[in-house]
Amino acid sequence: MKAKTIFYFFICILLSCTKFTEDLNEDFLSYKQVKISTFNIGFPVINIKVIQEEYDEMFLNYTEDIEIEGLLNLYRNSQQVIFDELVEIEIKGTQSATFSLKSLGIKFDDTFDNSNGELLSPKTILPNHSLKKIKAFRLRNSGNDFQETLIKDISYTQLALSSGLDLDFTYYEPTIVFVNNFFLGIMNLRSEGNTNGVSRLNDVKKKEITLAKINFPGEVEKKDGDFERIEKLLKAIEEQNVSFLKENLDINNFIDYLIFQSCIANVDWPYNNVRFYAVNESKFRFLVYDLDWANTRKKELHPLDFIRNPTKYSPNEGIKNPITDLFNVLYTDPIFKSQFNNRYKDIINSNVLSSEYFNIIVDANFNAIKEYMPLHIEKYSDIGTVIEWYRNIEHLKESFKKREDNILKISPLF
Amino acid sequence: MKKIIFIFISFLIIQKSYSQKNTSIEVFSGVGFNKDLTLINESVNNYHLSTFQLNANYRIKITKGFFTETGIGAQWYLSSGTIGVSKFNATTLRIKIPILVGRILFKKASFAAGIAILNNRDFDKFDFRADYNLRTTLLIKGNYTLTNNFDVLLLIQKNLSDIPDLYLLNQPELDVSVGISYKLF
Repeated sequence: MKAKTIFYFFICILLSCTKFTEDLNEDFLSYKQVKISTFNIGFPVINIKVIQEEYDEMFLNYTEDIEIEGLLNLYRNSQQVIFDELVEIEIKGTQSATFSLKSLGIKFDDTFDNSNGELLSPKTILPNHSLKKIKAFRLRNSGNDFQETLIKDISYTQLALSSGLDLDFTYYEPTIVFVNNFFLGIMNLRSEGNTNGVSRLNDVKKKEITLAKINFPGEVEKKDGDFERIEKLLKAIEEQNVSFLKENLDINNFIDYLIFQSCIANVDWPYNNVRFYAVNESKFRFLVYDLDWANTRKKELHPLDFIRNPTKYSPNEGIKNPITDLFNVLYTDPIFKSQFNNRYKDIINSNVLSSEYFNIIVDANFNAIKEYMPLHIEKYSDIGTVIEWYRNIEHLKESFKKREDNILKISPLF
Repeated sequence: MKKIIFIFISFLIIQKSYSQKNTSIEVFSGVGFNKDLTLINESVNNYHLSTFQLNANYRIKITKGFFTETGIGAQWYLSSGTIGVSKFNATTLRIKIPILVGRILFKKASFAAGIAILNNRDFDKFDFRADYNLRTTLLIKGNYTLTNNFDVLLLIQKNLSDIPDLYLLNQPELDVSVGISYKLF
């Protein structure tokens, strides 16, 4: 009998699942039938013209650095606003490049003049940021959120934008993408966070930017500019030289950056997805990007534990990385400590990172693409059905709320 | 709460009882109910849910008139409804481990109450650091003995966990089932 029970138990485990099927209430065109003219929408509809064989080869060999040439056309409200602009196209991403829809990096032959917002026109641009010139941009599949909502990264980034925190980030718009007039999918058009993107964001030349990345597992990659400055900064962290660090870091930006990332429980940070940069001799600032792992796990952690003991999977052992080390060094300074603690409390009390604001952003992004999601879901089976997409959107909101509740429960916070 | 459940289960497993025990197979059919469900600010309409259960049940007589029950079960939920542009059907299978304490009321009837632990997520989406992996339900169960081997059963199951609406769409807040059990030995 025991053997039978165990057998029965394992059969149940194997079968235990949920399967959704659905009919749609309205008539939708198949993705095979839609044309660019189907989409009379305010956000971009992009058609990339490429040699199909080259595109297919790049798509099949996505792990290789294959770049192909193409012509970019962009439509807004059924009006063509970009005509056959010469671009280089490359597949981007690591884990997310394994998905059936892959992120594309698009680089202009000449810097694109976006003063009138033809290419990228987010509702709000911060006064210290510029999108007037764009050298490159990305058509993003929403990263690891591709199988869930398609709007997670864009929503969290818009929260960073609307919060009023002293942050730098990439800018987004939803977009419908065609390749050679065939529907490719719903993607996110995003400004780049690399040296090109940061130089355009600050409206300075590329050679004025010093930029470094931190990649998994906490390894620093010096990308461009004055490498000696980066070395000195890392050495100062190692030597716990607080005064040097305070002189060379934009402390307000660093504090807000730490608060935002720990508040949204981004478990793919800070041993990964970190970019810091300086314009000429100015202080280093930090860029917020790739937030697709936010609020997936560890939503119960205290913000300090989150920064000091960062991991995605392991419950205890944090991954050593320069940002955690930097924070630990600065937190020994009473002035920094007090500034950080007070700022955290002020931000929590001000509700700028509240679920109320987040839900408004999510609803707006949901409403922008909901009419076209059946096409996308028909083409890519990853999400499954429209009802499952609705559930995933609800889960996105629920996860945010859970983290918010957990932080509010911690009393006193510091 | 977790410790109490653990101790209770351990007690049931390790006890060397010479009292009366029996094992039975139960089959249930029923309907599920939810409060008004909303997803993405829209109400779920035309919502219907039916459920089927197949349980292996183990009853142990504790003292005269009292018994405990445990076992393992599989519960299917078949739900349908409309929301937004979607007219959906969902099929969900869950594993259930019930623990009940009961009292024999008359010669042929008994009543039991307890809890059950079910998986709330599919096992392929299980993540031990994530929320809402499991749910706990309140069980109220009535038995009426028809013959030596057959009982008719009434089972009411009410969710006790704080679960968002998105998980109630395919696995309801409350379900009421009737069934029969067959004593194996």
